[in-house]
Amino acid sequence: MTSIRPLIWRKIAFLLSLVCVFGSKYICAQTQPPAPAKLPPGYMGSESCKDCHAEIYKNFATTPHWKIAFDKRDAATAVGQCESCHGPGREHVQSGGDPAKIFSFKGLSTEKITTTCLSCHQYGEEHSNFLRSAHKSSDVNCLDCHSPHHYKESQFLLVKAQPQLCYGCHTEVKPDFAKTFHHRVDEKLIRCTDCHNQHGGFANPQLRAAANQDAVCLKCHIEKAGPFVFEHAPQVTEGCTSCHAPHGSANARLLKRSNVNLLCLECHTVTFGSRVHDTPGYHDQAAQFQACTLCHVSIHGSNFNQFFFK
Amino acid sequence: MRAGKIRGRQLHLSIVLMVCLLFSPSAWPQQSDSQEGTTVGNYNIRQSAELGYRVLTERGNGNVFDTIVDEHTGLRLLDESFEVHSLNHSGLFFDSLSLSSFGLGGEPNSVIRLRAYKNKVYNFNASFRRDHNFWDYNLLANPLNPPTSLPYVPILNSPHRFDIVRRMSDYNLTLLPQSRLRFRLGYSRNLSQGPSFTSFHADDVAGEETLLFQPWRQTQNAYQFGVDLRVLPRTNISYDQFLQFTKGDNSQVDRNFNFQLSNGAPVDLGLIFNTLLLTPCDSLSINTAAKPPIAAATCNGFLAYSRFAPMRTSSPTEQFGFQSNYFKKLEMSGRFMYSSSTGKVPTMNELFNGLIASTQLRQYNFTGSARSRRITAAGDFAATWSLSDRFRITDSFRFHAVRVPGIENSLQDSFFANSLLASPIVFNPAACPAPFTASTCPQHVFGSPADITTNNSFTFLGQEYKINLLQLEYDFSKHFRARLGYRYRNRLITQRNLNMEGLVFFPTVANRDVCLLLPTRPDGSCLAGLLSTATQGTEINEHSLLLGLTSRLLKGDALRLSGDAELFWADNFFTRLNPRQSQHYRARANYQPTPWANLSVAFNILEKRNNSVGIGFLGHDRNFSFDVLLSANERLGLDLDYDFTTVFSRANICFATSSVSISTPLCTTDLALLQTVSFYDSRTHFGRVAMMWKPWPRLTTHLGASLTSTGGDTLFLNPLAPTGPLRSLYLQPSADLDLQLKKGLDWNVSWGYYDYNEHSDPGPSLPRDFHAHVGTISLRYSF
Repeated sequence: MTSIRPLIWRKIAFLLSLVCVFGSKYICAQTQPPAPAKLPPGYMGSESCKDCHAEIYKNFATTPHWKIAFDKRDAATAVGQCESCHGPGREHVQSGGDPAKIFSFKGLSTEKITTTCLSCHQYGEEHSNFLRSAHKSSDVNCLDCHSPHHYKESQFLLVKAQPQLCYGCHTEVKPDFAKTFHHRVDEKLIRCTDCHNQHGGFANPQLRAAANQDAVCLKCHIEKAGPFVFEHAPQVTEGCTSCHAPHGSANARLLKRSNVNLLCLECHTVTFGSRVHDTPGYHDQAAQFQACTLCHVSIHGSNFNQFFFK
Repeated sequence: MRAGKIRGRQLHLSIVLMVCLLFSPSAWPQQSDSQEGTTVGNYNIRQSAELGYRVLTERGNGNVFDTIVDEHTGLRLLDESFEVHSLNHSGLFFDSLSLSSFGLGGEPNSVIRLRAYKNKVYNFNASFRRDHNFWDYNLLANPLNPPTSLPYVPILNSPHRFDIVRRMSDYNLTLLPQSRLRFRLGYSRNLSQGPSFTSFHADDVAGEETLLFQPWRQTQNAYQFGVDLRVLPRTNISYDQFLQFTKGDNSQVDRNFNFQLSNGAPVDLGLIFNTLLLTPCDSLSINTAAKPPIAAATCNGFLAYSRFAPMRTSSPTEQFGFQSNYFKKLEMSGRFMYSSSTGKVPTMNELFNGLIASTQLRQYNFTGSARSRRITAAGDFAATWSLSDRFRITDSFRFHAVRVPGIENSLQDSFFANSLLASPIVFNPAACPAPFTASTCPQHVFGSPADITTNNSFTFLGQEYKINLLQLEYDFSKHFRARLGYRYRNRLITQRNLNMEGLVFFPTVANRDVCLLLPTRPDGSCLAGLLSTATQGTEINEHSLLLGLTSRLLKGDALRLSGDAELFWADNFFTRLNPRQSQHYRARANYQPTPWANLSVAFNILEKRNNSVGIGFLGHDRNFSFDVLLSANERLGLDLDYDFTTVFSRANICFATSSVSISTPLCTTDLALLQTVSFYDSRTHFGRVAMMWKPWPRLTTHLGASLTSTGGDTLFLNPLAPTGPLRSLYLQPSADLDLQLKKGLDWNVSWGYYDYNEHSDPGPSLPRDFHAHVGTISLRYSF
């Protein structure tokens, strides 16, 4: 009896060869930059730029922006690469490299820089709200974080890697991640952009969301997501930050208080207008009852006990 | 064991030495320029790998060190990178591929990232993250057993400690990324498992608390399918389907049997030892001379406990979005999503076997099921209208509604006896005839709960809010812009609960609890039903005024200033700590007089209060920071940081305590409690200095240190509670030396010191201070 294994491998090889024969023609044909048939007036073509800006040109080829060569949306981008962003370069070349004769991003307003970059990058949820983002409102433009030519981090062409890039402005956040209990941002396990959408989003403050539009915390802390029969209401209505300091805290579990009982009692005290349970009279704070979560263990929600005992 | 460890370390060192010899300059032929990589056919390949060995010495609380730092001795693949670029962008499977990783081999955090793309065909990103979470900060959930108890049993570890590994994978594929029609596929997996501990309170009213072993296992798989379509010029619409499945398979079991009964049966007396308050019993009832100590059969205790309630959750979510600047000067984006999560616990099984002396509850079996849903609908619409090059109007509107209904059904059979040595007695009318006082009857006391409890709970929590932000932005010049905005939010929070209990009380003392005045049946039992409902609604209207200014000054935008303020007020609150008024001020300045000098200053002040009757909440978060970065040249650099943060909060609270001060007033809303002002005042100074010095081209040194000093005060309701982390010092100096042996080959040695001190009495537990040195030696090869 013929062994099955060589037969399977033959079939796989045959399928692969079909892909190579029929697919490679399409793939290879598409990956060669098309030679522009005729350049619009004022344009020189990117080969001219290479003569003086060889290092930038070579570096550019390793970045995703080289794909501009294939973008035919308008005459400017059709010429490909350098002049897609920097505009016609004939005068610049003919003047011997006069920087005033070519479009440069240096010194441009945030509005102009943003409009230029978003002309390609606006589509998709990641960038669609940048015009309304806190960064844009604070006059932070694309080139404050990204550099197509002088990047230090190849993914997303960042001028610095995270979190140092974010710390450059958000100096008040850096010490939070050095506190005793913190999310592991400095350890590079988590990036700032795992939780925040730096380009702006519909939610405030530029927070991302889990897949089901729950709080972004629940992407990693899945056991807290529920839904539960008995919810700890503020977690649903106010969010995790009602009890936790998400960046870092000197307090265990990133809580906002060093003593858990104070965190609980500050809400669980009946006052006019508040609708929470009061603490019963036998909850002697001088005894074990000061450790609220010793008994109220399922504090993020429970399916079987309204007091979160299990 | 110790000899084995030493042999293991010798083996590791031998491997490192062999690798170093292997990588010595004489051992390898000349390589191509490591910065340029190697050209192989149509590809340029750049690789690097850093192999090292960590050595740890520590003293102090090793568990707290593992909680905060979690470094250990061992061999490591510290860093690795692999990049391939197609030179003519005509690679068969990819034009560019990048693979990088760090922390493999035993670091607490390990990450692998992969990126690949092929022009017009696909973009692919993947990441795998593994993080080890060891957690044992002994003050959390610590009952603080008093030294006056006899025996004195301090809790030396947190009852909620864990040793869990989480593995998270994310894969994202975009097909035809530059075409009008694009497809997006995504998959994420999150698996978290390991041993952990938890605590449990055995009875709703008068139970014992004990330590349970909890094997932790939580799994989530999430799938995404999305489509983007560019239908009109500058207009994109998208549709995404998300599917998320979560499995919770934690179980709990008691393994904490440190005592025994007189018949030798192991018994767990729980976590609370306060014999002056007869917990678990009086001191005479525990014979500590025996090993293990012998407890009287009338002590509160656990003979066995187990619980398993696997939860399954599925969350399909649909999302439709669009973005368009089809109309000149008007840019719009919008999104609508609907998510309907269902959580189920098909079966819950719980067994308690022990004794709660005050109620003589000897055993109970609890079974049940639960089902809950979380239904979310959200819509967003935002637009920016550029009236001119300088003036823009922005409006964002969001509608969000979440509803969480839940149903729980359960049955609890309880059995009673008066000691741990007595078997729980099942009610048998034949063995328990009138007058229902025989010793063969279940032995109840007046405070005993029902013998059979059926419970049906119907719950609902919902929140609906609408929020609109209108903002005007004006660019006075290229250097100065301002914005003014108004945000309004309306929230409606609804809670409803309906609880139905059916209770059966068997004799003895059938007329107890809610059956006090009810008639008994011929067999002596009493039936009762309880119905409780509660409905609450809270509506809150919130207003915010927003103001922002930014400026770029001096040549080359060397000086950048930005500031914003938000003034907030609300007509109601949901939690007592929800502010009804707040003011938030932020300002930043960044000055770069030369390319090699950068100075940043920032302050962030949030003031909040809720002056509603009886609350008296006042709080602030204030932060001031500055940073100086000097990079004189590529041979010398200096980075200095300083940050000061103060967090303050004050609110009226009502509480109970046996440690009464005569001057403490009674609570105005509950005369059974006392009233005082809870306060928390924390001040943290953070300082960091980092210096890079390259005395000659092949040698680079880094020296640095960071210090986090926390001080403050808070209300201590328990006289045994230490200040813990409220007054602490965390010092982390570091140094490293990097020597380039030859181009592409670097040898590195580094040292880090971790010094954590809490400046206070440790309390009835172990001190939490630790001091540790971590040394690393490594070789990095780039090729």
